Amino acid sequence: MGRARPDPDDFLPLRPLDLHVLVALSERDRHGYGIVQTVAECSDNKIRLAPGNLYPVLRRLVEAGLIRDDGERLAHDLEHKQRRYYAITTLGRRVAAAEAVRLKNLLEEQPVRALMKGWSRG
Amino acid sequence: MTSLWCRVYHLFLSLYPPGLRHRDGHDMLRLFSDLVEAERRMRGPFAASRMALRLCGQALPGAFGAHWVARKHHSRSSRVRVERPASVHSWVDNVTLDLRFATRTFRRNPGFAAVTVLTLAIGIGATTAMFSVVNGSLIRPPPFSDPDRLVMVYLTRSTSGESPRRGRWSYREFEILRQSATVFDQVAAYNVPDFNLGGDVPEHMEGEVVSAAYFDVLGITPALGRNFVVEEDVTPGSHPVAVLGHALWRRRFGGDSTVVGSTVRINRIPMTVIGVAPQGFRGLSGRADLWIPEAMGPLASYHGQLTDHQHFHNVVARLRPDVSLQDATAQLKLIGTNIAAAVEHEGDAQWSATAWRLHDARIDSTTRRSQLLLLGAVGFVLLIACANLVNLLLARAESRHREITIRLSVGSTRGRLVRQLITESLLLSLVGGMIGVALAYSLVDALAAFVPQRSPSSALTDFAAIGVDTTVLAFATAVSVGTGLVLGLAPALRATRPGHAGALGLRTHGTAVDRGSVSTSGLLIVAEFALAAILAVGATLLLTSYVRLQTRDVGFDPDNVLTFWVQPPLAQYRGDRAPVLMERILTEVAQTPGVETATVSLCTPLMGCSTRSLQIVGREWPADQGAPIVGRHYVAADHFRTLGIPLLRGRALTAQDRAGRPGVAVVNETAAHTYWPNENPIGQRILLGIDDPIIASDSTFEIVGVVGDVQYDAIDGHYEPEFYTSYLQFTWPYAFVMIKSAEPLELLVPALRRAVAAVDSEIPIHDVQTLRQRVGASLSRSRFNAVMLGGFATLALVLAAMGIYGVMANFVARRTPEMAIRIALGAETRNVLGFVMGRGLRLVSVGVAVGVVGAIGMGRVLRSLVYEVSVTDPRVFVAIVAILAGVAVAACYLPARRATRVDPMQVLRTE
Repeated sequence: MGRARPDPDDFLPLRPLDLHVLVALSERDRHGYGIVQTVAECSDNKIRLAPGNLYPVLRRLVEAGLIRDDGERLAHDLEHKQRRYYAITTLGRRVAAAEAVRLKNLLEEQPVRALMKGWSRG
Repeated sequence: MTSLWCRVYHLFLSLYPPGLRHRDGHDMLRLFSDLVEAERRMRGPFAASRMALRLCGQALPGAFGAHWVARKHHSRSSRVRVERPASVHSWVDNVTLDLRFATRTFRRNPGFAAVTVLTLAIGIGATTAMFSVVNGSLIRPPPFSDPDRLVMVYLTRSTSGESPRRGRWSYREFEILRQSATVFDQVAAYNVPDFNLGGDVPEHMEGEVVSAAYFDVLGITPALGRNFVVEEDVTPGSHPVAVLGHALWRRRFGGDSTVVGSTVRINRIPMTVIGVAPQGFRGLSGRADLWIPEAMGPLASYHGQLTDHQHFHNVVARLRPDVSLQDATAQLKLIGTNIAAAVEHEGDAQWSATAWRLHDARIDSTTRRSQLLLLGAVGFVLLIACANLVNLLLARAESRHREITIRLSVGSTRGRLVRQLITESLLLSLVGGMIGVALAYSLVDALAAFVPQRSPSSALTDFAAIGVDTTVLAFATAVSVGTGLVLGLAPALRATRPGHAGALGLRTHGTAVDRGSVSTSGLLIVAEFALAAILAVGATLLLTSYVRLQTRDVGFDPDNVLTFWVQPPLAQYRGDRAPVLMERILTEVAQTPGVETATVSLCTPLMGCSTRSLQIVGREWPADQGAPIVGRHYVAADHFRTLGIPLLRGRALTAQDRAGRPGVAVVNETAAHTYWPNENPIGQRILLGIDDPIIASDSTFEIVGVVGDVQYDAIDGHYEPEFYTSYLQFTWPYAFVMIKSAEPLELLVPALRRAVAAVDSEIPIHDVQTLRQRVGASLSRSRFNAVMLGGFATLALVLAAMGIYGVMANFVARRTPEMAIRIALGAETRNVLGFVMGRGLRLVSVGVAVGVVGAIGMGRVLRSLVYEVSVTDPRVFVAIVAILAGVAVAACYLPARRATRVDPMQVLRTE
């Protein structure tokens, strides 16, 4: 008897930080510093992760099976220093997609659109 | 810089739950360093420090969050829930709450937090760094197994009216000790001669000639091969075996394990390597690179190793587990008397023996005193810093009066509030302590390089290993917690005192002056200035002493003189071959282009010299005193010219004073005054100790000249009687060669090396230094003391000035309405100025008076550390009082001037 495939919807809604980390890893595997940089770029520098809050998030996502610890290797962007890389899993990719769809649907809701209109005018 | 911050962050990481820390701590630290490094590259070091601070600040709430998650996770995952008692829960919750509240408070008032944390970081950092020096050299035991049972055994000699002097052993005396002592498990002798290791490039090194039991006494197991066995230490010359030092093995043999069983040439004697010492072990001398057994000494080191009557063997022993040091000392006393009966000694001194724990024997009392003094001094600085902070916290507690009153009136208990306030001060002191420890890490290396070394010729190293270890960390933690409690307790108790916080809202900005807090501040200022005065007096005395030493006339001219050692193997150049060899070396050296004059001697000034007992022909010494001990020098004709020592009477030595000619000697002025106060020393005949001079007729020397005094012992000592004879009439086959040259000295070294090699290619020259450098080294201890205490005193003075300024500013701010009324009633500027400054200066003068009394008391401690300075020199005291008064006037003047500028109308309107 095979294990039941986990349903992405069970993970929703994602915490904002979790989504940012999954999105950062969706392009390619990254080390801690790479994740921090990508999340900062994607959030207009509004989210500036520190070691103290990044690693608990990574640990949680690994335990949930959304990302995996890909071991240490040389980081070419960090003067070939040894760094630990993280990679997104298939489940993680599906969960991030599901969360994106959920957010897109939210954005299309009438009240949200009205809000956004008011914002762009004001 | 990034690495310094990484150390700080590493400390913060220790706040995280162990699970997270073990899994991700390393990665977190690396990410931290990546972020700080990237910021430094992009925006410079300032931005990087800001980034590092932000990340450290973020680590605190992050750690609480992680603990929270870990706790929830734990309680969810454990099947059988272990119920914690409710009180523990609420205690944990309260502490978390207090910490969160404290963090928030400080975030609202970052300036206050920063000043406090930085002051504490400097105070705790300096104290911790100084403590790590004390820990490394006085507290940490020598690095051997069961070090408490290791003792150094000394033969003692005392003449009437003198306390016994600890000394070394002749081999024969050591044998008697070894056979008769029952209080030791094992006992071993060692001495520390020089060796030349043969090979393509001959290498000079120091080694130890040791009893077979030496390694076992110390509990040292070799890294390779084996230790010496007893059979190898019985028949002289029968077992040519050696143990190599670990570093030597790595350097010369590339760490090749097949070296055991191979042959090396030590002082030209082929010897079989039987073992390699463990890494880091360099013998009790701390300098050894190889070891050979005592029985090989006569062949490979000194022919009289086992037979000479001279005392040059050090003795180390391991006490039997059931024997106390007192029992051992009692037995040694007896053995010492037996030795005196069995072995003939010159003079009529009393001989005995004693044992010191290795832990105590390795530290000389001057080092101990100076290090404890400096630790005390830095403790004073920390106390002054704390006094300042208590004042700051008192003022802050005043300004938080309303908040505290509200919390009390809505039902908070006093205990709860005190705990909250103490949590705040503990948080400040712990963060300050962490930064302080990081600071100490970087200070320690600098300090370790600066700490004066034990004399390089000492046979027992001090085993100082200065660094931050668990003892130091425990000390820093204790100091931080202690500081936090001290800082928090007084202000917390005062602020929450029932009467104090009675009427809600009735207090405005302080027309009523809280007498209690004012008198506490006043007391603290008194204490600060007292401590600062003590430190300033101490520092001035040490600085004066250092300047005196630097400018003292040492009797010779150290400029343009280069010195180096040549140490051919003793066993091959013994007796009359030594002067021949030395003359050839000296001739080659003197012919080197650029050399003006050259000489040899067994010592250079300021490093201590060999001594011999003196007999004067036709004179008997009083029976109860025995023969006096005098300085003994075997020098060349140009000795006095090379060192610029003036000839006062008679003639100097010449190259004609050589083997087979009448023995002649030159004495210094002190010797002439001491032994011939009312006669002419020239023409007197003397005998010096037990050397075996090669001179015509008997072994007496005729005094032919008197020269100026030279300081041969430590620079803070006094001139001693010195006797010079020609090295051609007797010398040992090793010497300091000293040359005078007008050319840059370092350029001469290769030519000098070649000159010595031309005589014997297996004799390297080593320990090449200018005489100036050696003079500088002899000043290192007093320079260290003066600079350190000077630094601490300056810091103390600055802190005390800041303290009085803060207190007076606070005083003026609170008395503003009173000033306004005085001015409105017609008080003049100088009255107001006088009122404010009078108050400040009264406190300071009480403090300084207390300090002066304290400094006079401290003089006792300082007396042995200063040179020709009276520890109660009134000029020093007057100068310090003037400086402190000046600082206090300046610090009080600013707030006082502000008081005179009060606009009465404005102030009274707002009241």
